[in-house]
Amino acid sequence: MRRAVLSVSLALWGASAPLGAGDATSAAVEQCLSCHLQDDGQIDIVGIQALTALPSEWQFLFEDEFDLDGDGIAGRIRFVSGDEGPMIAKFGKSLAAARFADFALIAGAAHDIDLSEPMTLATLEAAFEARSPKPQWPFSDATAQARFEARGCAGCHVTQTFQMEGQTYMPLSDFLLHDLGDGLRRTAPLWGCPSCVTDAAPHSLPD
Amino acid sequence: MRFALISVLAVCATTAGVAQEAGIAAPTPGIANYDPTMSAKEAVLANWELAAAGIRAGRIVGGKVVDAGAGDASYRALLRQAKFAQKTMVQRYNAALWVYTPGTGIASPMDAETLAAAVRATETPCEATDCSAERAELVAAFAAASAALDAAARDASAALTTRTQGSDTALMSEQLTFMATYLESGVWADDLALTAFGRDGEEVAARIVGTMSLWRNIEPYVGLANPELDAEINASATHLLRTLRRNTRGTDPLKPDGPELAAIKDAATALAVLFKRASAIFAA
Repeated sequence: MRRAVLSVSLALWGASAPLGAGDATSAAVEQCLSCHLQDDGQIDIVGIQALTALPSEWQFLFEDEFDLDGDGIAGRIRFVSGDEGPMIAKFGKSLAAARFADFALIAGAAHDIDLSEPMTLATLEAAFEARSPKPQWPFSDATAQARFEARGCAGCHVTQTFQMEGQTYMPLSDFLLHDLGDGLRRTAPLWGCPSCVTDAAPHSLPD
Repeated sequence: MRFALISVLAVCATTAGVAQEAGIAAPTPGIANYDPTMSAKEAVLANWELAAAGIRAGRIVGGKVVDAGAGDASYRALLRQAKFAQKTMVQRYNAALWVYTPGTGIASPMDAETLAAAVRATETPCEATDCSAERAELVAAFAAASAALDAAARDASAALTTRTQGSDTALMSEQLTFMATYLESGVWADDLALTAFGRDGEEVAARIVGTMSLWRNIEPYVGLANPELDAEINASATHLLRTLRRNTRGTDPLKPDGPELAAIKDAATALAVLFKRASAIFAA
């Protein structure tokens, strides 16, 4: 089933792939999709376009690196190297990448997939963006949101919103790095996981 | 790869007793070899961006309050939004106050009353049906504060731009000198805007912690050049942080000659001395 979906998907993105995308490009992109593509034809990374559009100032709204407010939550911003200067990382659970392309390069290297050719990278980015599910509004109603906030989840999975092209998004993430006892981890956005907002105890937090 | 290179070069620099120009970091350009690790120069520029983007975040959320005030949001909803916004405005502006250290090229901080007026406006309840006067006051205060933050963010961005052509060593040395001068001067306890709201401790803490965030970005390069000094700085920073927590939490106003500020000043000065030593490593 997955292979059939993969063929369809490759055919679809192939139409908009940069001219001259060769066998090596196809092979690399297919390799990535073979793990990320789901049975419904979409990949398992939600909201790539929306996350790309997330304002760079977003994390500053919540950053409290040394837990100055004493609420027990310390989250930090991480800058990474960029083409024209340092950039704020927002992609990946613990990987440091400011842009999807950088994220893909790091992930590709970890899986021994060569994405170093600019055309391969551009094709991959186009394929993933086209197949990335649009984020969903996470709450069924105001009561569900209030319950989520009352449980303390909104300390990191913040309920602030941002807008892109007239659409309002609630990523439910401060995108900061937090230490939950096993190293720094970026708050996972929950905008593609409706069941996550009702899960009573998803984390086992350190004291 | 980059870190390995930095390490080797840093050892050479230390052995020679002088930090060489190319000795701090060797960026690996090109997305084909993407490496998130920043060069020393990028780390310093990140600190300037930390200040500029932080202040800009305050301006953005303040501006959103102004926009919402012009719309049909209820006063209650507007007040809730404003309370969230002023927290960011206060935190981010105060965390970036080091940019006004003499030598940075930025003239003077905003009038403390501008920020105080925005905070004061969020403390004004209204139970009446018509809250137009309170609403107008809130919008005006946030418009003024947003404009001041906008100017401050542009100043910080301009200061960043002037440093993009600087060398790794010069920028590292300058950054550490600014941090030392700022902490030692005690200017972080001056012109507190929120004493009347019981939040002067919060301001002082944000102003000092702002320099600790800078340290986190540039620490790896000091650590490679002088691990012992790096450890000393981390211990001193931890002590300052504990001192801050102990002496700034609570609602009692900080007294200019009180024991709380004295303790913070002692800890800040001790850290400043170490920053000066770190700066000397990179000075030509």
